[in-house]
Amino acid sequence: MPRLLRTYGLALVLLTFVAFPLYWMTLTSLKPQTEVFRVPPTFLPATWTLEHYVSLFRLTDFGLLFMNSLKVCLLSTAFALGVGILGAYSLARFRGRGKEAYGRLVLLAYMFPGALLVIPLLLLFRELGLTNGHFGLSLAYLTFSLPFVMWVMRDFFASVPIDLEEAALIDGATRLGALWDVVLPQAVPGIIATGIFAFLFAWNEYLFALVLISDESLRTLPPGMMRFVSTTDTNWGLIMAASTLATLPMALAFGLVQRYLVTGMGAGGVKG
Amino acid sequence: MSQHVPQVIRPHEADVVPKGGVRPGGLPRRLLDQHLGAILLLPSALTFLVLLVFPLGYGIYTSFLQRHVLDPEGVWVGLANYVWLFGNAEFWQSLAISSLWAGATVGLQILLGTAVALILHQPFKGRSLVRGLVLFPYMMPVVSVILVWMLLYNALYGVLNWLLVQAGIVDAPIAWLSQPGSAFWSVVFVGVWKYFPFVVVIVLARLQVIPLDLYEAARIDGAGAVSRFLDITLHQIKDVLLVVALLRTIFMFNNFEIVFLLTGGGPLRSTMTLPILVYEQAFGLYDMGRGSAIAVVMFLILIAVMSIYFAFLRKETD
Repeated sequence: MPRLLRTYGLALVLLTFVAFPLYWMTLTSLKPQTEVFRVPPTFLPATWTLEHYVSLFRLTDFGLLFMNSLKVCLLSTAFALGVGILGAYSLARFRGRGKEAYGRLVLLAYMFPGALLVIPLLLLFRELGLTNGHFGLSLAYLTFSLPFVMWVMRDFFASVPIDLEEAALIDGATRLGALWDVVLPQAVPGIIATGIFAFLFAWNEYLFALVLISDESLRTLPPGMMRFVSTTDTNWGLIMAASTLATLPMALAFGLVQRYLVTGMGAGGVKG
Repeated sequence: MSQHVPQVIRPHEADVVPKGGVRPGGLPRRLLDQHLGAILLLPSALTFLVLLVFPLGYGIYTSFLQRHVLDPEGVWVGLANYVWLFGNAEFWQSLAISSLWAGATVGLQILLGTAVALILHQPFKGRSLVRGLVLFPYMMPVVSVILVWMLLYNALYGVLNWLLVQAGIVDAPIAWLSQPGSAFWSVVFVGVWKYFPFVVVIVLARLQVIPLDLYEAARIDGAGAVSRFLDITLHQIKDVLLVVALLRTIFMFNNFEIVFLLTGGGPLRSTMTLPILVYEQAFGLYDMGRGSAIAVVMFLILIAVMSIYFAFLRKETD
C-alpha cells in the first residue's frame, strides 16, 4: 500500500508540473484586467469574464492571424501527406538501388537546421516572387513536414501485413489500385497521427513565418501573437486568451485521436 | 493465373510468379515495377531537390560572399567570412552556450522523461488519463508556451515568484529572464518542460515490451530492487535512451524559438545560441554572408552528430 500511495503522490506532483501553466493560461484569460495584476494572485477568478475573448476579435487582428495560419498549415500538411505517402510507400515496398541512402537522406533532411535554410530560402523566394505569400510559406514548411511524413509513414507501411496486398494483386488489382483500396484504408490511423504532427510542427513554426512574410495582412499566428507583447503596456488577459485559442486546435486534435498519436510519436521519435 | 503479380518484397515470390514474366502490354514486369517504385519517389525527390538540396548549395555559396540582404548578387570574398567567424570571440561563446543548452535540456529531458515513464509504467487507477495529460506541454503551441512562461516568470506579478516568496525559498521576487545568472537556466527549464513528454512516450513504449520473466528470474536469484533496476530495466532501455538523446540533441541544438522568444539571446548575450547568432547577423545586421557561414558550421556539427547515429544504427543491425 505505501508503494501505491507513493505512486499517487508522484502522479499528483507530475500533474501539477505539466498542467499548472495550462491552468494559469486559461485562468488568466478569464480574469478581468485589474485582477490579472493583483498580488497575491487569485487561483480562481474572483470575477469571471469573457471580455478578453471579445476584445481579441474586436480590437486585434487575431481572427485574421488564425485563419492565415490555418490556411498555411493545412496546405503544407496536405501537400506533405500527398507526396510523402507515395514516397514512403515506395521506400517500404519496392526494391531499388540507393533506397537505403535515400532513406538516410530523408532523415538528414528532417534534422536540417531552420537557421541554415532560412537565408537561401528568403533570397531564392524573393527572386521567384514567393515571399509575402501563403503558398511560399507552406512550401518552406515542406522542408520539415515532408521528411517527417516520409520517415514515419515508411515505418508504418512496413508494419502493415503484406498478405492482403498480395491477394489483391493476385485478384488482378494494379499496384496503385492495391495501394489505394487495400493499403491506405489500413493506414488511416497512421496517416491521421502523422498529419496531426505535421500540422503541429507547421502551427508552431516561427522563424520562416517571421522572415518570409512581412505584409501585416498575411501574417500568421506565431509572429502575430508575439507582437501583442511588445506594446508598452502588456495586456496579459488578452494575450492569454490568444494563447488559449491557439492551443485549442491542437487540444481538440489530440483529444479526438489520442490513441493513434503514440504510434506517430513513437515512430517519429525525433522531432519536437 | 492470367494476371502477373508485380514484385513484392517477399522471399517466396519466386514460387508464385515465374521469373521474367511479361505483361500483356509487352513490358517486362520487373522493369515496369522498378519504374513504379521510382515514379512514386519522384515527387518527393523533386521537392527535396528544389527546397532542400538547392537552397543548401546556395547557402554554402552565400557563405563565401559579402552580401547585404538587398544586394542582388554580392561580392565573392572567399573564406573571409569563416576567417572572421573563427577569430570572433562571440562565435566561440555562442558555440559553448549552444552546446550547454543542448546538453542541459537533453540531459534533463532524459532524466525527467525516464523517471516519469517509470512512474506511469506502474499500475494505478487513472493511469491512462495521466498518460494523456502528460502530453500537454508537447502539444501546446510554442508561442503559447513562451507567453505563459513569460507571465509565470514575471518579476512584478508572476505567480512563480509569489509562490517562492511565500514558501520562503527566495526573499524577494527575481527577474528570472532578465538577469545573466538566472536567464539561461530559466530558459532551459522551459525547454525541458516543453519537450520531456516526448522522452516519456518513447521510454514507456520500450518499458512495455521488457519480458516480465527477466524480473522473475532475477528475483529468484535474490537480486534486490536496485540491482533489478540497473541490470534489467536500465540495461533494456539504454539503447533507446542513446538514440533519443542523440536525435534530441540535434533538435535542441537547432532550436531557435524557445530561447529567442524568451530572451532574444540576452541579457548580456548570456543565452545567445548559434541559431540566434545566425538570425542576428542575417536579419539584424543584414549580412547574408556571415549569417550563412555560421549556419554552415552548424550544419557540419549536425553532420558529425548524425554520423554517430548512423554508425550506431549500423552496429545495431549487424
